[in-house]
Amino acid sequence: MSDIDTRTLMSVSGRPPRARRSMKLSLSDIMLRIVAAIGILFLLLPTLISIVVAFGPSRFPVFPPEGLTLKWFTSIDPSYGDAALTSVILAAWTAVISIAVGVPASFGLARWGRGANILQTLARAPMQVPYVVIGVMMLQFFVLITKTTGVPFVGTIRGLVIAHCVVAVPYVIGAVYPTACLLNTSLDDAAYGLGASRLYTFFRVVLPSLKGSIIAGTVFAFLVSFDDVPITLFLVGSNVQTLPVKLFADTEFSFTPELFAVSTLATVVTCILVLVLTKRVGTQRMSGASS
Amino acid sequence: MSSTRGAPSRAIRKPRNPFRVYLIPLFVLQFATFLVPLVLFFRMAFFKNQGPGLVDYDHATFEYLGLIFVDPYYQQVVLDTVIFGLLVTVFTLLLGFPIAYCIARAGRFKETLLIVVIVTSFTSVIIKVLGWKILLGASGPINSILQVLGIADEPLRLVNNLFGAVVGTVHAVLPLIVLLLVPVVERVPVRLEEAAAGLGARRFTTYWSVVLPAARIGLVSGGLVAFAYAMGSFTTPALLGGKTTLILPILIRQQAMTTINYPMSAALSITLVVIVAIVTVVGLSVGSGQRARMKGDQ
Repeated sequence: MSDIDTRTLMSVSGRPPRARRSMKLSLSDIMLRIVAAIGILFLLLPTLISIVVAFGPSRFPVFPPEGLTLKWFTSIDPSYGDAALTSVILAAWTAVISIAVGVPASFGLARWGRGANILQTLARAPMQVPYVVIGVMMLQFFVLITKTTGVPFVGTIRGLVIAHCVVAVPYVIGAVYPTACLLNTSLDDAAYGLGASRLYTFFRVVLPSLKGSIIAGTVFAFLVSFDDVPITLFLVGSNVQTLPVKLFADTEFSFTPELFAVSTLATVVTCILVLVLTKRVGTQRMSGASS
Repeated sequence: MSSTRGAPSRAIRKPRNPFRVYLIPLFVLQFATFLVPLVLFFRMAFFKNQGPGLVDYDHATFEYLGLIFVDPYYQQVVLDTVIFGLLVTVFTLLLGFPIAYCIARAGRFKETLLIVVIVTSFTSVIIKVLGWKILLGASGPINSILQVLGIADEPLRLVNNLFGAVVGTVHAVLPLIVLLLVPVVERVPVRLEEAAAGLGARRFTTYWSVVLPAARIGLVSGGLVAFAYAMGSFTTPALLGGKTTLILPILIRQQAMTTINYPMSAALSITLVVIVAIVTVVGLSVGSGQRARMKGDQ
């Protein structure tokens, strides 16, 4: 077992049980707990309300609903299905390419030695640019490229995949780089020393040890792409529309129970995906998305 | 890099860094699809707008960046954006720290609570916004409760204004900040709190002068992440802020898609990126300064 597994195991089992001193709850303890409880409720409430509202019968979405019905789910417009399919294809391509670029890069950064921190900051620079700015800049860039080469990018899956990879790759590095730094150097040195090629070592020794982080990185990349509005907004066309951008546009101008039904379905799928993967790779790896 | 410059006659030959090859795809991608587009876009801010979508690259100008400094309309937008960012940061930390503390010290419930936070951090922005539209609406549950309790006589306007935008954005960034702060609290040893209690400190004193100072650097970096997120957030304020919440990301989109004034859009983007960068640098130096002072105290 490598040292990574031990660390994960320790974090899961927590610190050894200790005899609890009978500390009386003071007012500030209680206040802290109340704020935390309100905070957790605050996190869950809007999503739960939306899911309940999606089952309400009235034409105008209200809470609490006056009854229960599935009619908004069965009458979902097929254009939402098309948009959902586009979103899934787009997110899958983004995840595959981001992993192909981000995983070797994380390993390279981990073994870089001096200056690795600066390189890592550079590698994650796109995270410092607001998504709206990335959206407008990619629009400009694609228009320019199309003018010179004739290849269309705006309103195509290809253009969207490129734009999404710009922001998804840093997430993959954020998930994989910390684990890659913990990899035991002697392991792949040994494989290399025993005559394995660099490529063989990377695929047969390095990649398997990074498996959990790679899974987490794939989910990050997939969901960053699957949920994106501000970048995609500038790059969709009449033939290519993603689910969140369609929902965004519809929410801007109308407020129908159908919106709640579609987002409920999307959210249930996302939640199941995240739950299953969190169980699989552990909470520690899944919580690395923000830092 | 330095290895290639080395004198060839040296006895010990330093090998070229073999890990360079792993980074090539990344830097090719980032150069071609991030750096080049970014530079080309920012460059637009320094040339004259020639009607919708056209930029006159023969006439350089500082007009648009200058306008943001002197025109009261743009000054107001910049000020509103910073206020929006600060409000989101303050409320996110006020809610986020207690949640993170309770999760870090929750014992066997820790995993479950963490999973709840992770799932909410991945939930789509749209369903959260839709939920807030119901919750904060004129006939929504919150207004009903306020009226039943007699706090408000008539429905309060809670959405399609700054309030709605702040609530929605705090909600969107909170899970990320909690996940960032949990390890920070975990690093504050329980023994430290026990020692404070043993020495007779009340719990409030323990939180205020033991736990918070020990977690200060984490709080600073969490606050910076929340600020940067809020300053750059678009979807939530666009859907919950109504027409009155005009912050930089919304104006950038307007200038790029409605007015189609690319130089102005680029100038606003530069302003946004620069403000976030300045706040981050200042915040980091303040955070590390405190660390240095605390070390000096020991």
